[in-house]
Amino acid sequence: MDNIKEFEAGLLKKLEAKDMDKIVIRNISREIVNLKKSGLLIDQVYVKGVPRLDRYIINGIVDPEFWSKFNNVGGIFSRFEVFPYGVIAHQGFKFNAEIER
Amino acid sequence: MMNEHFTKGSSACAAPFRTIQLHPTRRCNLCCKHCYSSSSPLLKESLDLTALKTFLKYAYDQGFNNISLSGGEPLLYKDLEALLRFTKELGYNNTMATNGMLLGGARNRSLLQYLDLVAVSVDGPPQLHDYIRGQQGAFEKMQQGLQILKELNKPFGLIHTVTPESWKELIWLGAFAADAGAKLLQLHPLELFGRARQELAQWANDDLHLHRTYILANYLSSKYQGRMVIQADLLHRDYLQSFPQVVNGFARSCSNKDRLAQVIDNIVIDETGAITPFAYGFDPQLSIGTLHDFDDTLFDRYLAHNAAKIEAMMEQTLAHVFENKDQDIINWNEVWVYNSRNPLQVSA
Repeated sequence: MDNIKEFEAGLLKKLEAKDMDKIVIRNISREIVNLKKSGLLIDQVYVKGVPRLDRYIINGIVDPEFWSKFNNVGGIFSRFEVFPYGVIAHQGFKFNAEIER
Repeated sequence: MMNEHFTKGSSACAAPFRTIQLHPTRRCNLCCKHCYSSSSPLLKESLDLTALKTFLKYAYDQGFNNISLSGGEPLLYKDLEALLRFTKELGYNNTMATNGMLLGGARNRSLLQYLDLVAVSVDGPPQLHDYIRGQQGAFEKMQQGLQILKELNKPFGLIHTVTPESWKELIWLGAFAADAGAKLLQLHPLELFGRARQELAQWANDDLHLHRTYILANYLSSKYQGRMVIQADLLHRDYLQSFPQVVNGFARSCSNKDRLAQVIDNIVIDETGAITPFAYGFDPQLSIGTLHDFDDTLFDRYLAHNAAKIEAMMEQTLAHVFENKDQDIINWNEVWVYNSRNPLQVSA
């Protein structure tokens, strides 16, 4: 979506809707976690009051089935971030990737 | 096979830092509604610096490498500069969580040189921040603190306690943090512990709120990639099931289970000198000891007596989380602390 403010307003409106179907919101979260599980970044959690000091990136083997859907471009990225931009149709994703040097 | 490198017992080590969370005093210039340590201006007790130094030397030799100062307001600890200088010389990373309102004085500006990261608490836009902090003008004073950090070129982040009243402000908060020059925005869901249990019981986060926070945090992470780290202290149940070693030090094949610092990523020292594993509020019956009565066998003795019990508790807690299909998004540390005090009943 070109207009980021418009997207953010739409995202908040979608998440805020009183009658929001919980199945939909669970599916969005699940799509995010599926992508994380296929990727290179491990989530961490910190206890209350402890700030995160640094980012920790795990280098691993990219799931070939996942990447085959994206023209077999796996293996060249050192890191990527994803978010289901198509919140209404949450199968759509935006990728930000860094090429390994 | 998918994720074969990250399954239980993998070589992935989840914690690069082994943290000692220090609460040298619970004295504070504020009396925040969500304060898990129930800190306030009325509390006076503080840690003895000599005893603390002796323990921190021992803990460093045992593998701990990160100091995380909390409180109370750490800047009110009279020996803070001497403490930070000592830990920095030993080799620790020094971090500090602060309300940011007391950074203007010469002493406090000076001690920033010993800190690797300053994390300033922000509870939302001015009105919500001041309400939580119980002081009109708290937001403005905090902003002045951010300006000082920026002027001194000191790396800083913002820590936000997410409540059902604040999740919809997360996009605003991301922009506020980025504009202020923060390198980190950390989102920690409200835990009903300490004063929060009395003051904010009606603000408990349910699964829907945690989903909203999880989704927005991932959006912000994507939006600010390369400019600011977004850390959400939440895990999806499916993720935790695939990577239990993120929270379970006993499940890491690279862990030496005879070394406390390799199976317990975080220990807490409060203003009385009590040493607690994992997190503030963890069952005191599983306390590691005190600063005032320890020797060089403390960690070894603790593991010999408690490791098997803690590992079993950890596995029971994880199994319970995995079985509960009604709760997708997990505030792991809240669950873990709660279960330490209210052990799960295991059927025969």
